[in-house]
Amino acid sequence: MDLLGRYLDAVKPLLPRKTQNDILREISDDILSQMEDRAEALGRPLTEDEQADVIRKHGHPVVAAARYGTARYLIGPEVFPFYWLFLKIAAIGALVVRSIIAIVGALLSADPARALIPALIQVPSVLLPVFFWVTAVFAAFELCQSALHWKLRVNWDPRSLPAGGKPSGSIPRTHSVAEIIFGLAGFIWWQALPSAPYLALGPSAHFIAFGPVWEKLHWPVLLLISAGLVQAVMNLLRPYPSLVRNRVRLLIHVAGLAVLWVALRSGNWFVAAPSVDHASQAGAVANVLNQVLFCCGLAGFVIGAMRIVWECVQHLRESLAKTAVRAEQAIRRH
Amino acid sequence: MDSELFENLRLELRRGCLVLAVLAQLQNEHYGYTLRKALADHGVAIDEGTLYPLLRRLESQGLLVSEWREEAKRNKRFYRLSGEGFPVFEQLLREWRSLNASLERIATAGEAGTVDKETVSS
Repeated sequence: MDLLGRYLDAVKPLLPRKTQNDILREISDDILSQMEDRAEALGRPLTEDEQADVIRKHGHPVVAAARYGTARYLIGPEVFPFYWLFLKIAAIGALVVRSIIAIVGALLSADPARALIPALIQVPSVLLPVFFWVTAVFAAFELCQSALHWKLRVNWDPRSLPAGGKPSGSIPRTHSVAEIIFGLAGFIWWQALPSAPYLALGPSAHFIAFGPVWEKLHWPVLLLISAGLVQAVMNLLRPYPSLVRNRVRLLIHVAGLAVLWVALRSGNWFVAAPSVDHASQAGAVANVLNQVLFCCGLAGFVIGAMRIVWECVQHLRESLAKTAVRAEQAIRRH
Repeated sequence: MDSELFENLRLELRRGCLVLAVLAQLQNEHYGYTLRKALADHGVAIDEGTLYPLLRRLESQGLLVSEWREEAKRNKRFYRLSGEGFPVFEQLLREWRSLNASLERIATAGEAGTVDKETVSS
């Protein structure tokens, strides 16, 4: 079979069935016309190399056939912005849900500290099925759209957009991402501490141990970290401050201060390790540590309390200003 | 990088004009190969991989009609503007002329502004 016949045979199965013969005849005619023109110009029949050169200009069979395809993209430009937005939301949502499931599953296992890290490593694997399903659904929609001549119509009204657009005081997404990363790291660290005290004490874990107060504080602190994480995720998804969110943040700070107060009252944070040889020396070191930490904790408590008071004053001012504006508007209306 | 950017912009600029050029040329009947040659002779080179799918698309949109006929001992598909295609072509041509005139005015005004600034600075 000649080169042209081989080329057409390679293109044929890749063309739409209904029009393939028609297209092939046209391609064949175009290539033959080009060959004839070239042969006439040269005054002799074309060599195989020259014929191959003419055919090559038509492109690889896959490329040549693809030009006649109906849809040459999986998701078209009209649908893509919605696909991309939905994919981002679905990916973040799946990561959050999967992280929570992993953390709760690890906490309920026999050895939470050991189970947590492998469980968290598995979390990103959820992204692959999310990507697959979201893409499949949108690709199917695109296919239906081109096959059934649907038109994507999004009914929207500019008046339904948030008042004032993006507020100037919006929460930067980079902050939220950093909060999520550090929050997760903090969560893992805190959860691993009871079984791996060297993560906080370093080499001194050989002769110093955590005091009994830590058992009492473990869950409240874990809860506080989790609350902070949830808030960071919320800020990432909708980075606009609101009254409710500010109040929740204030509540978390107050709860944090309460936990710190309980810790300060106990004071006995570190004790000599039970199996240590020089218990009295270890006890002395633990005492020094307790005193230093008490001073730091007290300073932290005072600063935290002042910050909360300041935030409360700010809230009160904002609320009063809003009330005044509303009252003024009401007076004007009447 | 600059030449690549220019090439992309040039292709983008040409894309819309190709449809108009094909419609204009098909006021008279042509088959694919002679159409391509005629366009190239007028300075609008278009490769076969772009032209034939474009012809099919324009035909499916009702702007062109085609028929297979024998010429020079071979069957060829001849294309021409359809009855429905003529008014669309005329509208598009008007639109292109108006756009071209606007662009000319904008470009001339821009050049004049540049010359004024140069005169002031010198």
